[in-house]
Amino acid sequence: MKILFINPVVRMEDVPKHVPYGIALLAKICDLKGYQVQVFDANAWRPSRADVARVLEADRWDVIGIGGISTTYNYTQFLLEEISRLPFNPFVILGGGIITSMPHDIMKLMPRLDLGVIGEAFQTLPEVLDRLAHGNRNWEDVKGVIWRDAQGQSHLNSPRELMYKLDELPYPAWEMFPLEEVYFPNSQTLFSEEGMMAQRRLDINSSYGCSLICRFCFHLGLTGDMTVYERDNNRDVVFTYERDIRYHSPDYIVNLIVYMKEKYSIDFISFFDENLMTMNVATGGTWLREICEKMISAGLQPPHIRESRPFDPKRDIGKGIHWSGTSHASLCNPEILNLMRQAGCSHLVYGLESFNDRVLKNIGKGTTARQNKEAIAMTLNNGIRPIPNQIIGFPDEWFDSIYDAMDAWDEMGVVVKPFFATPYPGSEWYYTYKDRILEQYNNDLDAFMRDLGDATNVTAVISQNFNSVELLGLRELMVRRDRRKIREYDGLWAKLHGQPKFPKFKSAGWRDRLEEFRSGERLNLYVDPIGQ
Amino acid sequence: MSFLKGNYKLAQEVAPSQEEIPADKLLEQEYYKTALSKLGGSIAFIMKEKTFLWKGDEEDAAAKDAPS
Repeated sequence: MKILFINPVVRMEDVPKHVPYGIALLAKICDLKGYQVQVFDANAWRPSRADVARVLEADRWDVIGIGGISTTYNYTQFLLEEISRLPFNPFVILGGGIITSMPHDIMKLMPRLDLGVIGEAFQTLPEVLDRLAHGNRNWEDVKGVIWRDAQGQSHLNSPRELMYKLDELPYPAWEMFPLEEVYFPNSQTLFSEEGMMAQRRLDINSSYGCSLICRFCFHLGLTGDMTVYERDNNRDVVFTYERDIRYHSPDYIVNLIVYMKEKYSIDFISFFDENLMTMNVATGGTWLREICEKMISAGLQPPHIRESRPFDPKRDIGKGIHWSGTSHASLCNPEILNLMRQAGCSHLVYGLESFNDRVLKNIGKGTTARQNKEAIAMTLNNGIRPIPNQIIGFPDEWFDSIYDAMDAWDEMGVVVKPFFATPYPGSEWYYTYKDRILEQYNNDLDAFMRDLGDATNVTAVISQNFNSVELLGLRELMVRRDRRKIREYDGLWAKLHGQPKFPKFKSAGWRDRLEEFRSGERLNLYVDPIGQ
Repeated sequence: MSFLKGNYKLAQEVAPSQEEIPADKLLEQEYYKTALSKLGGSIAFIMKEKTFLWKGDEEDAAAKDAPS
């Protein structure tokens, strides 16, 4: 059986930098099962329409598998149009966050799809392929899929259990991606000096999920958050506050890095985990410590760190492994940060989001403004660059949180142009504000999906105090630290809008609400915010 | 090279000064310049020399130390 995996273009605004880890794993799983596999990394190649057509016609594919997050919506629709023109009829499967977040909606918006994999595909896709290989197209008892019946009606099956023995996963099929042609020339990451000098970077995912409940975030159905409910003989997904984080063993991770170094001569690794620190806390602080100690024992420590001297590009490029990851302001500590630096960590991405305690509490971030500042200092003091991600436009964003952000930026030396709070499908705030979101797109879900980007631009606004024009203007003035103009507008705002709104969100009691939701007593799992 | 160009010669030319960046700061300066040119979204950073390394509220600490 011939399988073509396609990685859709994620966004055109940036060069391709990241091999899609999930597709690379699935390609290797299919390879080991004995299928004939090709990968078309459209995001890497950015091909013309004619070239896409040539790729699709390059063989008579039995299966075409496409995977991605919600922001690949536009390109996935384009791919499906092109697939529809083929003179043969491959079985088309879509997986990833794009369909996991809204299975029925996507099946409706993408009529060419035959089947969707909902949540984790490591076990589901092989079962689907095995059935196809044996001419069996009965999907009723396959967990973790949405499928279409002869009348075109979509049916969602029970969820697939998460895979717990993660170390049984093979290493990703990096050999099927254009590393030398595209990815290694784009190795540079502008998050640290060492990242900027990276020559051969690859990414790895050493864990799945995050134990926190940030209301703008979505875990792709990989962290125990997703469940299925049934109403009127129809099933649909709902995302809860359940968290079931999973992680590879330190041995698997370090052996993988050694393999990457030996096979691909890499000099930099981006850990793309949602949040390394939650895994570390869940293991009582042993997980990251073991990873770091084993990296040093394996001889991966960069020589300039071993010799306690600054990184010198003339001497140190390509020596040892530098790496980056994700951290959390209330879960990091000086001991682990120091050890991470010793093991080659150059920068850590912190979703600090805000420096206002009300906003942070409503996000469900589990941090305070004070902890955010302490984390910056602690990380810098241990020789690691903290990347201070910021977002504006939260539901309770107000002038006070804007002033708090600018004050903290000045105090801490933060240079940033914030993201806009964006209600991606699958996040709590997508469901909380769904009606309002769709109103902004004339109730056209397709238009909203096509508009979604990487949150650097305004899309659907969920702020209850600011509209899109105000948010755009405020961000520009914040970046310029133009407090005078912001204060001027602050004075005018009340005349235009009246009293500010400070909605409060809560998660407590969600298990009871989930039961009420399942039984039909409640229409939404999430509680409408108080004080709208 | 001089900042001033005119129809007479100054007693002393005013040339652009050569900013002396310590060798160990060259890479850092290059990083700031490059990151700033791409600022936005996930590209954000901390200017180390401008950072007030916050170690908690001194007032809080003083309050804790004060005899009750």
